Amino acid sequence: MDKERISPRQLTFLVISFTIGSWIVLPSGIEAWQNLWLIMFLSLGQGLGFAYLALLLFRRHPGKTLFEIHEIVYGPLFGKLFSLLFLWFFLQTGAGALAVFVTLLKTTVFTTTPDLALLIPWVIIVVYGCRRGIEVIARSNEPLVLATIGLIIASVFLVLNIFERENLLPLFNLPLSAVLWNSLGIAVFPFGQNVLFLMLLPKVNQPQKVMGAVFRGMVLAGLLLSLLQFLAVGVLGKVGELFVFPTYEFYRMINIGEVLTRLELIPLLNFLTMGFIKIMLCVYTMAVGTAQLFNLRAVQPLFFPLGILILLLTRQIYPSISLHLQYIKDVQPYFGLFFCLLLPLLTLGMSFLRGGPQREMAS
Amino acid sequence: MFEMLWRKLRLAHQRKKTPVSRSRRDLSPNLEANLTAFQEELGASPDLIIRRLTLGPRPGSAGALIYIDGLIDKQVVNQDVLLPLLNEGNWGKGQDVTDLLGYVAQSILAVGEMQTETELRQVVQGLLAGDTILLVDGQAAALLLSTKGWDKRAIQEPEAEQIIQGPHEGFTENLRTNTALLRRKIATAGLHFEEMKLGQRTQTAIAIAYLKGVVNEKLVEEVRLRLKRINIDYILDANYLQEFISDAPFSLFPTLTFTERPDVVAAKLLEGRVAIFVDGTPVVNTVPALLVENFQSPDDYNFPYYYATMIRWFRYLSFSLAVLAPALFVALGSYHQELIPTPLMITLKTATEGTPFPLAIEVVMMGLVFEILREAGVRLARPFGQTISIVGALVIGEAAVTAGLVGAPTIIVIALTAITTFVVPGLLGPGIFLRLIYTILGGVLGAYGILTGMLFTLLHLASLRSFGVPYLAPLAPVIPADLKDVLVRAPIWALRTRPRLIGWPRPQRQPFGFAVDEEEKGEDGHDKG
Repeated sequence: MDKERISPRQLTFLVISFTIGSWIVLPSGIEAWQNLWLIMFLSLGQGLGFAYLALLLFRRHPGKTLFEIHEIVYGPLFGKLFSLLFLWFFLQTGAGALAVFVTLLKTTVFTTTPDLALLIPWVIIVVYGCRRGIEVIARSNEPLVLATIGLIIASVFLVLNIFERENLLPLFNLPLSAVLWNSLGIAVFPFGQNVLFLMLLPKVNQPQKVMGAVFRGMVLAGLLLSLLQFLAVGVLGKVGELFVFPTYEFYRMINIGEVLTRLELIPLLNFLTMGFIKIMLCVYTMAVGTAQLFNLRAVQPLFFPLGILILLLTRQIYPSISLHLQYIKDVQPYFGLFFCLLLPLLTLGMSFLRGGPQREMAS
Repeated sequence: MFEMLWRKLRLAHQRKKTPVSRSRRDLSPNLEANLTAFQEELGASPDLIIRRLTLGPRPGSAGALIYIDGLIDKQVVNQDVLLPLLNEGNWGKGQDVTDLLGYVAQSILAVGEMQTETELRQVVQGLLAGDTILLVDGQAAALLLSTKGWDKRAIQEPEAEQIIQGPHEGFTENLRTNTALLRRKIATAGLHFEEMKLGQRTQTAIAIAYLKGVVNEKLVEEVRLRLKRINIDYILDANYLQEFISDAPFSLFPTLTFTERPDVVAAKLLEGRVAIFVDGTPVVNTVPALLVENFQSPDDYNFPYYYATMIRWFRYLSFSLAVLAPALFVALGSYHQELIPTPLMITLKTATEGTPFPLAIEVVMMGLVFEILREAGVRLARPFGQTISIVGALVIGEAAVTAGLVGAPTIIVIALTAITTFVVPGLLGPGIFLRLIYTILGGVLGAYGILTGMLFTLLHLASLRSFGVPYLAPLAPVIPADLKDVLVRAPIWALRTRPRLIGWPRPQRQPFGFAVDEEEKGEDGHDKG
C-alpha cells in the first residue's frame, strides 16, 4: 500500500474530477444563477488562496498527511481531535455527493426504484476501486476526465442553435453582498473541498510539482465549470435557477434537427463517473485517515466497513434534496470555511509558532 | 477475494514436493548391458530400432545404432551414418585408435551436430528427441547424432488470423521451423533465442526470443524466472504456459497475447517485447501484453495509414457494439423508452407486441442460443454444416419471431453482436462474458447498471499489469506519445518511437527519414555518369 505513487499529472486529473464531482449537477450559489459563470472566477481565486495555504502546510511538513501534521503540530491528543473533525468532513463530503447523485438518478430516470437499489451498486464499485488502491483510481480516472472534458467542449457545438445571447442578461444585477456570499459558497464547494488532497499528497512521486499540479487542476476545473454554466444560462435563461439539476435540464434541451435529441443520458452517465471518483477519493481518504488515527497497520480492511457506513449515513445526513439545497445555501459556506480555511490556517499558524525542527525536516 | 484464493492455491502449489528425480545412471562399458538398459527404459516398443554392427578395423568391436523410427530422417541415417560406418575403406588410417567413438565422430560420420553423453537418461532424452545413438562395446559413452526428421505440416497461412495483404505464412508445430521463420524476418545478430525443457513427462522444448539491445533485460529475466518456476507434467499448447505465467490468472482478460504469425511476432520483438515459443504448437505468446494490441492487426500496417486508421476505429466500434448493443437495447427498451424517437418506439412496440418474456430474458436467451450455435459450428463435423445453418437461421430465427416467442428487434440485435464479436478475435472470451453481464445489469438497473458494470471493468483493467506494464497503457495512464498507434495509425515514418513502457531501454527506432542522403547522391551521380 505504501509503495503506491501517483504522478503529478494524475493528481491534476484527480483534482479536476474531484472538483467537477457533484457540483456539476447540483451547483452551489444558485441564487446568482445568471452571474454564476462570472462569479466562478472570483471563487476560483478564493479557492486557489485556500489551496495555497494548505499547500504551504504541506510544504512545511513534506511527506506528511494532514493527520500526521495535526499530531506534530498539536500533539497526540488535540491532533487526533482535529483529525476526527476532518474525518467527519470527508464523510460528509462523500455522503453529500452520494446523496446528490442518487437523488439525480431517482428524480430523472429511476423514479420507482428504491434508494438502496441505487446505492448498493454504487458502494460496491467504490469499495472495489478503493481496494485496488489510489494508483488504480488515478489511472482509471484519466480517460474518464478526458471524456468529460471532451463532452463539455462538444456541448459548445451542440447548443449553437438554442443558445441565445439575451438569456445571459441581465448581468451584474446583484448587490455586492450577494456576489460575495455566493462566491464564497462556490469557493468552499467545490474548490475548498480539495483540502482532502492533503491526505493524498505524500503519494505524489514528484513532491516539488505538487503545487503546480493542484493549481492546474483547480483552474482547469473552474474553467470547465464556468464554460458549462455559461452555456446553461445561455440556453435555459432566467428559469434555469428553478431547476434542481440545471445541467441535466440543459442537456435535455439539445435538439439538432430532430436527430440529436434527448441526449441527457450521456452527460448524466458521464457526470456519474466523476461522482464515482469523488466518492471513491472520499472513502479512500477516510480509510487512510482512520488507519493513521488509530495507528492501524493495514488500510485494506477498512474500505468495506467505511463503504457500508457511507451507504447507511447518506440518507441520515441528507434525507431530502430540499434540505440539501437549504444546507448548501445557508450552512455550507460557514461549515466549509471552517474546514477549508480556518483549520488549515490555524494549523499553519501553530506550526509556525512551534517552528524549529520541522523546518529542518523541510529543507 | 480472488487474491486470497490465488494465494492459497499458490501455497498449495508450493507445498507439493518436486517429484523425486530418478537416480542417476551411467552407461556401462558393456554394450549388451547398455542395450538391455535401453530396452528396460523404453519397453518393447516396435518403433525402437537397434541396428547391431561391427566397427573399427578388423576384427573390430561390436557396436549398435539406436533410433526411433519416425523421429529420424531415414535418408540421413542410411546415407550419412550407416554407409560410412560400414565402409571398411574408412578405417584404413585408424589402425591404432583407442577412442573409437571419438575417431568415428571426428573422421567418419557425415553429420553436422553431435555430442557425447555418458548418462543414460540424457541419452534416452536425446533418443526421444529424434537423435540417433551410437554405442560401442568397451566404451561407457554414447554418441548422439542429430538426425531429427519427422513429418511436418507445410507452412500455411493461419486459419484464425487471415489478412488481406502482406505475408501469408504462419508458424507450424515445429519449433525449429518457427525460429527459422523469425530469423528470416529479423536478420540481426541481436535476435537471441534461449531454450529450455519444460514438462516432467512431455519434455517440451520452450524457446524465448528477444532482441538484445532493444529489450529490457529485466523483462527477459522475469520471463525466464516465471518459466523456470513452472512445475507441470505436460505442456501441449502455449496456453498451458499462459495460465502459469499470466499476471492475473483470475482475470477475464488475457495478459499475454498470442499469435500464429511470424510478422506479428517480429513486429512485437522490434518493439521490445519477448516471445515465447512452445514446441508442438504454432501459437506463440508475446509479453508484455496490452489491451490495445487486441485491436491491432498486421493489415493496419500493410495498408495506407488513413485507411488503416479508419478500419481500426471500426474495430473499436465493433467491439463496443459487441459488448454493449444487447445491454443498451435492453436498457433503452425497458427503462429509458423516452430516449427512443417516437416513430422508432412505435415500430419496436408493435414488433414486440405479445411476446411472453421481458426484454432482458429474451435477449439473454437468444444470446445463449447464438453462442451455442457458434460453438456447434466450430465442433461439428463438416457434413452437418448445412443442417446447423438451416436450423439456426430458419427455425431459431425466423420461426421464433413468427411464433411470437421473441421480437424481431431482438433477433436483429443478436445478429449484430454475432457479426461484431468476430471483429476482435483476441477478446472473444472477455467479450462474451462482458456482454452477458452487461445485459443482465442493463435489465436490472438500466443505463445506470451498465455504467456500474463498465466502471467495474475499467477499474479492473486499470489494476491489471502484464509483466510490470499497466494493461491499459497508453490510455490509462495516458501516454500521449504512444497514442499515435492507438487512436490513429500514424504513417510508418512517424512511428519513430517504441511504446514507452515497453521499449524504454532504447526508445528511438532506427535513424529516421527517407533514404539516407548519400545513397540519394550516389544514385544521382550514377544517373549522370
